[in-house]
Amino acid sequence: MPDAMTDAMRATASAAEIAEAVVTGKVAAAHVVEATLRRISERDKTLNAFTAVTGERAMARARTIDAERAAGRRLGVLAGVPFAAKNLFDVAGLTTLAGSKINRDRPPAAADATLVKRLESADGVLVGTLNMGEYAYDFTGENAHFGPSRNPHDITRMTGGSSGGCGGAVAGGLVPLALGSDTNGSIRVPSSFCGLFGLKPTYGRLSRAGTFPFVTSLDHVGPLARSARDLALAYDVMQGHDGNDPVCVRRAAEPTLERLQQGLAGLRVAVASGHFKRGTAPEALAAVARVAQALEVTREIEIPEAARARAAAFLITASEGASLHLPRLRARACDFDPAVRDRLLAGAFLPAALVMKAQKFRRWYRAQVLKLFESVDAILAPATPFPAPRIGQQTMQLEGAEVPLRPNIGIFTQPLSFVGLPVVAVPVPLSPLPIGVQIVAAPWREDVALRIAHVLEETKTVATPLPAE
Amino acid sequence: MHIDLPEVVAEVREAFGRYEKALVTNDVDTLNALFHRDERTIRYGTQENLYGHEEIAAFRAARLPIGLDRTLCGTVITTYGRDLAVASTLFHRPSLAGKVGRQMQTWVRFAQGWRIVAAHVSIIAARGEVPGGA
Repeated sequence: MPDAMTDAMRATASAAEIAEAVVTGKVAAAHVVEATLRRISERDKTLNAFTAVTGERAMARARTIDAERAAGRRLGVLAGVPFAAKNLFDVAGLTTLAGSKINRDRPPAAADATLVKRLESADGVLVGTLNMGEYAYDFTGENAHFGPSRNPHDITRMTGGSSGGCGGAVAGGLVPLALGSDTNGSIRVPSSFCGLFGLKPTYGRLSRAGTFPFVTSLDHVGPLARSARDLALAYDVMQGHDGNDPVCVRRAAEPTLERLQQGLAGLRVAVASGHFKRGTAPEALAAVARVAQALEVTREIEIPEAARARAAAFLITASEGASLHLPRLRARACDFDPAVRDRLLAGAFLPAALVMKAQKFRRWYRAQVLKLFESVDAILAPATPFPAPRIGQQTMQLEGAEVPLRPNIGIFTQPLSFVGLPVVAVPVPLSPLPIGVQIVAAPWREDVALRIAHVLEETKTVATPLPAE
Repeated sequence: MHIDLPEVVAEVREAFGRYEKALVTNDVDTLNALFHRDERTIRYGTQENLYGHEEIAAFRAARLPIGLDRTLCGTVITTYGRDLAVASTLFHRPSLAGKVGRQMQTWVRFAQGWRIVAAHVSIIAARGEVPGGA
């Protein structure tokens, strides 16, 4: 077998490598997809990342791509790249579970979600749907109905939620690319726990059409991958207006791939202080310090009232989430994951005055945060306060106090998604477990965060720890 | 009523063997297929009471897939007529030093084949059972 062919078929091949090999005819898309399906059937018994594998569809798609290449069509930038989507994305013919038991009774989706279509328009190949925390109200990757997705670096540990299957599938070498969603940190948390690159774009940038919502005023969708380049590749083909998502902006696509190698020239970067240095295990601070050192960043910047922003995000999440699920809570409360049900019920009883205050604060806070970007282009912050905890773990020792685990996982992600800022999570390969750092940019400047991520990759400061082949 | 018709015992032994293999390889699909898909199917585990196939499937999905290897001993399979059987076995695991596990299953033949309708697993202190025996 020629080297290029085996390279593109190995578990750790990047999306860019696979596409290059398929476009140039060094390997058939069908061979890549076959190898992927085989790996999923072998490894997913342990990782529990997938809830459905669309093998027949994937093989048919791959053969079509190969036939069209043979007929002279110029293939897209994701030619033959296998990808999977969190199971809140519609996939034609499958029921959109959103991690729940209740949704099993819904009819199968009639069409693919917009982002699935866009990745396939670039000749990517969907191979299945991924496990997630129920209705995305989760930071752990655990699921009472489908079992927890397991962290490939230590299967007794959490993948992080709610896009837990995305974390396990990409870090475990099952696929190079996954589609996730992030309401309060659900792309960035699994990226941190599993050691991946994750992009949560600016609110309104990528279409959520054909996804099962959670908190529409906070829901984002985006990719997880093993390199900044793969994020950029996928992100660029997913951009563009979509009338089927009311918040998706009318804004021309702003390609990031061509800017990826522009380096740090002209970029002003600072480390978030205050809230982002408190309530955390030493690993998170060490990871930020390592990234700051590599970028030669010494400046610190305070994001004002970040702790309050996190609290306000909690209130709005609970209240909006509960309002979405109220009919299901009334009719089928016992069919929810008990932990999710209790959070939603609590949300249903929140006084309106509190939620109004949170919304009012959000306006003020947004203005303050936007002002920061007059003097800085990117801000560094930890992604999670600690590396992946054990599955089932309920509490955590932080700064000498025992605190509940779940609500603390998102303390650093929530204040940023709260006002829709674009963030790239990058993996610092600490031992024994990786942990993520957030690169936060001004609205619509995903390119800046990706450029910095790429520099860090080039200097080997950040990298996805690779599973054994 | 015929007890232990050889061909019926052979069928149940084969199904029992498939279950055992699926258990130690964490082949969740096969485990789920061998438990009767019905809300009246019950599995009492060592730590949990599972009522209905859905609860049993959720338990399988959540199980940590390491340290599943085990050695059976004292296995007894008895069939009653052509459609009912009881399978009882003891098991030892390296992680259960000084202890012995007990597993009892009621198997029923349905149109789709032999399925477990009730099961009970417990662990007690070992009293000289020999791993790998019988």
